[in-house]
Amino acid sequence: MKKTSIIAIAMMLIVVLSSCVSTTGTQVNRIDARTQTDLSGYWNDTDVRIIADTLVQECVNAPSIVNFIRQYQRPPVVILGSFRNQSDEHLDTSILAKKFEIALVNSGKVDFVASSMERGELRDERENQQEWSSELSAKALANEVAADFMLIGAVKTIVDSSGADFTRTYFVTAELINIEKNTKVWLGENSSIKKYIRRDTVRW
Amino acid sequence: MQGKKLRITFLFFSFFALLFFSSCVTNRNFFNQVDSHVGRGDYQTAVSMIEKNEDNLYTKKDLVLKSLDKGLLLHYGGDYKTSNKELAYAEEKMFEYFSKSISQSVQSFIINDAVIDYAGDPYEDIYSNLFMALNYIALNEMDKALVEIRRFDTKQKNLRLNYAQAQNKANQNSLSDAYFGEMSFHNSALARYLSMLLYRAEGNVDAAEIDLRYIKTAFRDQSQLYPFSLPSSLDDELIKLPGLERLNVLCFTGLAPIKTEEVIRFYTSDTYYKLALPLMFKRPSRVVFIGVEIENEDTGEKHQFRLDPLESIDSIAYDTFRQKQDLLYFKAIARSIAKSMTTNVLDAASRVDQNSDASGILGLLSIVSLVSNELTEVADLRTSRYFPAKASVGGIHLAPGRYTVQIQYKDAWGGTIWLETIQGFDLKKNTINLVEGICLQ
Repeated sequence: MKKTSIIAIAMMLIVVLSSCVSTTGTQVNRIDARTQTDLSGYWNDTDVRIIADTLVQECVNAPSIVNFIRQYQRPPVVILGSFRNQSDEHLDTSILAKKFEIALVNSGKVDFVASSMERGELRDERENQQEWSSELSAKALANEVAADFMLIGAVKTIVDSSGADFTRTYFVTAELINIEKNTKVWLGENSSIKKYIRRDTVRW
Repeated sequence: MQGKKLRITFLFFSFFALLFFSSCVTNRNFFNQVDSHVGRGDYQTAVSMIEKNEDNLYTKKDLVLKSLDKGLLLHYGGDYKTSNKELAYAEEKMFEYFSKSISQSVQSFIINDAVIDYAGDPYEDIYSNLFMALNYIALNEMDKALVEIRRFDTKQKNLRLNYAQAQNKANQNSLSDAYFGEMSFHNSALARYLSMLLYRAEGNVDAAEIDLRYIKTAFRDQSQLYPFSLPSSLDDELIKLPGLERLNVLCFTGLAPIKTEEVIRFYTSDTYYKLALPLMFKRPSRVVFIGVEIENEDTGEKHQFRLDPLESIDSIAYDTFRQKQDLLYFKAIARSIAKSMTTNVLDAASRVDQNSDASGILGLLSIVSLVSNELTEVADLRTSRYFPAKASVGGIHLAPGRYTVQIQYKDAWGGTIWLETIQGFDLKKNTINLVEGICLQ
């Protein structure tokens, strides 16, 4: 009786106390930046890289840019417009927009001017220079270069689901628009990212 | 001597059982204090009361509930960014808990349903996106508000798919009235209304018109959930008048239903059964109608109109609960039978050879089983507490400018229960001009 009671009480204690035990710890492993890591099924660095590797290159090699250089004997000036998130997830389109900007500037085929978001700060700085900098070094007002083209884009998603299964397809579009004429001189689209996601219906 | 030992061991076990299970009991009276602050519109105090006592109010299985409650109160209190963090966390957890835990399912059959991670009801999942969209509208982040609308749209598509599958199943089995009647909520007019306003502001008239059609479909196909006429202002929403912009007023009133427990105890010849069933009840609201008065701060020109009901969130909450009710009751009955049978088997075994040590232990276990049945068989009363009960809307075309908007919440006798005044509302061109009012009485 005594032995059995001790075993019963010990078992009860284990059950009660085990609920108080928690394990914590973080393990960090550095991996290659190009490793494909799909954890949630949502937009991630791999998707940005796929788009950047294809769409951005298409944009850099757009015939309209080559034609513009030939016609005006100078690279076109481009301003970054909005890259809208028209998807169903909160993704940061500014990373993709910056990738476009970097690739275009580094190609040497276009010049970029500060976007509407950036130029406010620059204008404030120039105005400050008029008051506080030496006359020789202060930069002139109203001497900005006007853009020839505006680059805009959007990321959209189509989600199809049934129960625990769903697919996510991303449609990324980018457009180069002639600011004076409103003509679209280049259009690019990438819809190659399609993910099939299956949620576990049971877990431990 | 043996009897004394048995009594001591029994007391010891009972103490442990009480200690163990008392942690599962949520301090429900405390919510009444929080509710009184909510009723007075003091949402900040309500949130801080919850934050100070969250370990008593919520268990580790109630992460969704905690975030939903806090997220909603933060929204009402105007802390839109923090509200979004909480609601997004609730949404993430609801997604995660889609997969059912095997160990928790086993525990729920032995103990009760409250040991399972609360995964939220479909209406809680959908409305969390709507309140996030409202947060983004208040923060003037329309793209993000539209993301929430698209997320809600995907969820509604799933609901509609389930609805259509149930309909097919019902048709195949000739169960149209009985079975099909259980799947009524599949399209939210409120969600469509917000979506319509956002698409209209964006200039996407086609998408806005589709939403308008969906609102009408929601009223037509779910008449039991929308037992009122379409809002009179609805047909003017997509009309563009030269030099005028549209001002919309959306008001939330009352509080969504909560659950209570019905305990049924009965004896058969030698077996004791306890059934604890969850029941949902609507919390009455004093608000019967809502009047709006708008005054142009420059010209003094005044306009008055009434808001019309758009969505009965409490009816939708009740409906989604009803869909699960039969399953919950069946599970409670099965669990009660299993627990009672265990007690009976142990008791019967202890009587076989009453002089042995094993008989004493079995007798003791039979008593422990009986006590634990009484202690653990409780209904799962978890549900989010701070969704509103009703949503009402109205709209008017006005010239751009600054306005004072006064919202009067009135009772059945025309007495004003609550008055909200929004001064300096800037009615702008080509954007969403939405005034949100809240009276959770």
